[in-house]
Amino acid sequence: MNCPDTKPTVAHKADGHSQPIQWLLVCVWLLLAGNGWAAENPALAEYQVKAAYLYNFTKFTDWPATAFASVDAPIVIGIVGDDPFGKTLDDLVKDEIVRGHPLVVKRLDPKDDLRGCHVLFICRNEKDQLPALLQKLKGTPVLTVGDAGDFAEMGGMVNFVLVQEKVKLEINQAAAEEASLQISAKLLRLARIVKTN
Amino acid sequence: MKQKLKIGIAGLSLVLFSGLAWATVNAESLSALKNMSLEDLGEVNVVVAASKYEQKTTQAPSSVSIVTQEEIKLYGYRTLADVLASLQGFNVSSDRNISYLGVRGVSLGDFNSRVLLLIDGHRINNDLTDSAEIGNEFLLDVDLIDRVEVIRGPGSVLYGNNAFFGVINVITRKAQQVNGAEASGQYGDFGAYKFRVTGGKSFTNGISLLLSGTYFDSAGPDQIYFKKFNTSSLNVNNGVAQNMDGESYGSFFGSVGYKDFALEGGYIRRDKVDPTAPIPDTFNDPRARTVEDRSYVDLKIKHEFPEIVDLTARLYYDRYDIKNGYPVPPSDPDFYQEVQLGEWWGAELQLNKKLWEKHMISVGMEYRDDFKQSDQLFDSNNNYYPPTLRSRQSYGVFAEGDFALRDDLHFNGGVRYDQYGDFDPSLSPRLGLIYNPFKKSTFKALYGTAFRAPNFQEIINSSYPGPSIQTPETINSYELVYEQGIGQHLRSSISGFYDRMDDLIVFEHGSYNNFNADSLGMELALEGTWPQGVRTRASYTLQRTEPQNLPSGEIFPNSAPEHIVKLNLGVPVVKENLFASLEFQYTSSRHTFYADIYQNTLQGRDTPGFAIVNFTLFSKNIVKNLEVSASIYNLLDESYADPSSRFHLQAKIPQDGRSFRVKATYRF
Repeated sequence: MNCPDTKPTVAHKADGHSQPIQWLLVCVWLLLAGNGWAAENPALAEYQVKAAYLYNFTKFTDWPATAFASVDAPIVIGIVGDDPFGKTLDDLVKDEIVRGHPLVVKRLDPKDDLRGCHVLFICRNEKDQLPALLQKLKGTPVLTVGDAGDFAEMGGMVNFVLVQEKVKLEINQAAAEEASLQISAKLLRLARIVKTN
Repeated sequence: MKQKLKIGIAGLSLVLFSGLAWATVNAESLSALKNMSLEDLGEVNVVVAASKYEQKTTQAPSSVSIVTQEEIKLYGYRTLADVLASLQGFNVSSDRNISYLGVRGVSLGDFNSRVLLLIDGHRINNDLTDSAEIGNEFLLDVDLIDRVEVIRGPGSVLYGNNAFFGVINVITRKAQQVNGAEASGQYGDFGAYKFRVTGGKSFTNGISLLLSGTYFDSAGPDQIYFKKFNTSSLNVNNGVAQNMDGESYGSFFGSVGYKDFALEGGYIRRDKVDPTAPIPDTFNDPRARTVEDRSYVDLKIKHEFPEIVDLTARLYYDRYDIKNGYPVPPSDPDFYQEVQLGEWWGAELQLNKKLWEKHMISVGMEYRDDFKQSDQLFDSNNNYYPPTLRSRQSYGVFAEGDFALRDDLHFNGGVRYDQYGDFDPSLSPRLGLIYNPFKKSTFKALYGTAFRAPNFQEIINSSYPGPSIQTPETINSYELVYEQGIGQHLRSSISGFYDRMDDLIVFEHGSYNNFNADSLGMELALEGTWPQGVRTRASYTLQRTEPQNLPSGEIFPNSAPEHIVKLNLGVPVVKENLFASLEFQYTSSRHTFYADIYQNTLQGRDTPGFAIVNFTLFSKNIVKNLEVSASIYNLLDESYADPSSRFHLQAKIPQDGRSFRVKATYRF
């Protein structure tokens, strides 16, 4: 396995900043051409991924019929607190229809009536208000989502956790069932199930 | 200096006045994002350290590598040195006392002072030799690593001193990730064993707590043969170092979190016998040993003022001491001990501001007080010699920003000003353009600078016999990177760099001198991750460093190889339960520069190139909560040696042949 080098021992050249760059430029890259360039890049910003999750939650959650005023009433995704998504979430759900319901994003204040939402993302900066918010929503079919430490243990339904730079889920299934929400097995399978402390 | 100032001001004004957006999503990637399955969403990566705030790797103004805890287990890495040795462009060697990290075509026998090592953002390089210690001497047990982020290229724009060739940020596992208790034990060749106990819990009152302790002991090979000590002129024990490679360490790490506060601290005490008899030691005398203590506590406060700014503040205290034993040939006194002690504290403040949802601007400042640096010699007759004492105060301020000039074009720029002790102030700008013409293609054009101030060891050793080294060394680096996603699961990259280094501080002829040098290099890398658990990495590095205006009769003692090849492959054998991994590393020949006491000069010679293969079987949950692994290192029993140093009479330091390790970890 040895690869003897023919270079003489200490014969470093002492000339100025000369030659080299050619062999650097020679590195024209002809790796795999063709149709491989298609799919998505494996690295994204955290809140892009979380926004995509929120979009997916609308597909993998069943709301009771009473949660909608009509069969084509929108599914409302509410964001309460300091919105970390920017335009990402709006762009993502624009013109999307899930089981006949168009998707709508609303920014809300904790003091607003939050019961009109179907999915409610509670931002980290509202952490102190969390018990009060959850209390207010008790029994209403609102899927509460957060990303603050022990959000799900405190009675929130879905919590985003960063595990080895990946966004993973914790689901408090009991809390969802209490609110008459049915979370699909496909989603539950990917999550760590936690209970209210 | 003036020119640097100009570049710095230009960079800063660009940061402050260039206007547009940190656009994270364009229409194309949006539809891709929407169509990702739940499973895929859970496998997407995000990265933290390159800009001191969260950023995806393709947008970072650097070439970035990440190694996760999963891979540490999969490949059976024993130390941080093992982790780094697996990465593109890194050349790790050992003198059987500490591990050396060569990068970007430069291995000058310093103690890793040209790479900045962080644990959770806390600076680990000590204040005596500026060493980033990466072998068993690294403060953190590898089992406690969540991930290692390697950011290549000069990083002084954010981190100041030592971020010369790159920054390595080690992120620790958090209490909620441990969520319970773990006990781990391992046993390997040369009587090496290690035990670890870790507990972590996040309590309902908001407090999270992690505590961990590790003990390691290794007898080392019974016999290590050095031909240099088995010659007609110098024969000690026929060149055999008998039971001279023993090593042990005990370490402790803990972290407490509450709301915006995170307090963490670590401690390690390591004891290593040195079989290589560095000058002036007697060969085969176990009093030639190094005992090191390294500890720190770090309080971090992170607060978000909604709509205003995110603030991170840090306050820390660090301590390092090292005792080196020097048994000397029969004489009176016949033993000396050198004791070096460093203590320092510091504070950092950083503000991050997002503008119009999209821009990101960071400003920060740092103060550091190296209030104790001492070096003292004792001998076996209880004499002690007057200590050499130093201290210094330093500060730095920086500003950095990232802007999307268009949806597919980012500009990243920043500058940092450092006043390090009494040295000339350093101004370190960085500029980067990041271009995403297609959703899976990224081009980066990067210009970076960095400095390294002379450290305590260099200052005190250079003042005798010559004038003391006064100038910080500097680097100007130009890099082009092209990253291309191939299909769903592969990423490839090619990069080329040109580094211009001035006033490198290098030990030669019994003292420190300044050298100028240029490096040119190219790296090719391919990385793949498949959902079934197959993962692979492959890389090739070509690099060359030439000294500039070298005075005749001088040697530039660089031991970097010209070619480095790394291949890693991990595959599931039984889904979710059993994995096999294979690792291949090739390093081409390296110059070695060792001491010849008779001529007081460094000699040049080559250590031949070598290739090693490591193999690991890793299983989890065959028995619930139990992880078991078995590794064979240097599977083909390649006989190879690393270059020695200016402190050695011998030209080469032989390395271990084939060896094994078994390890079991149980979670409660």
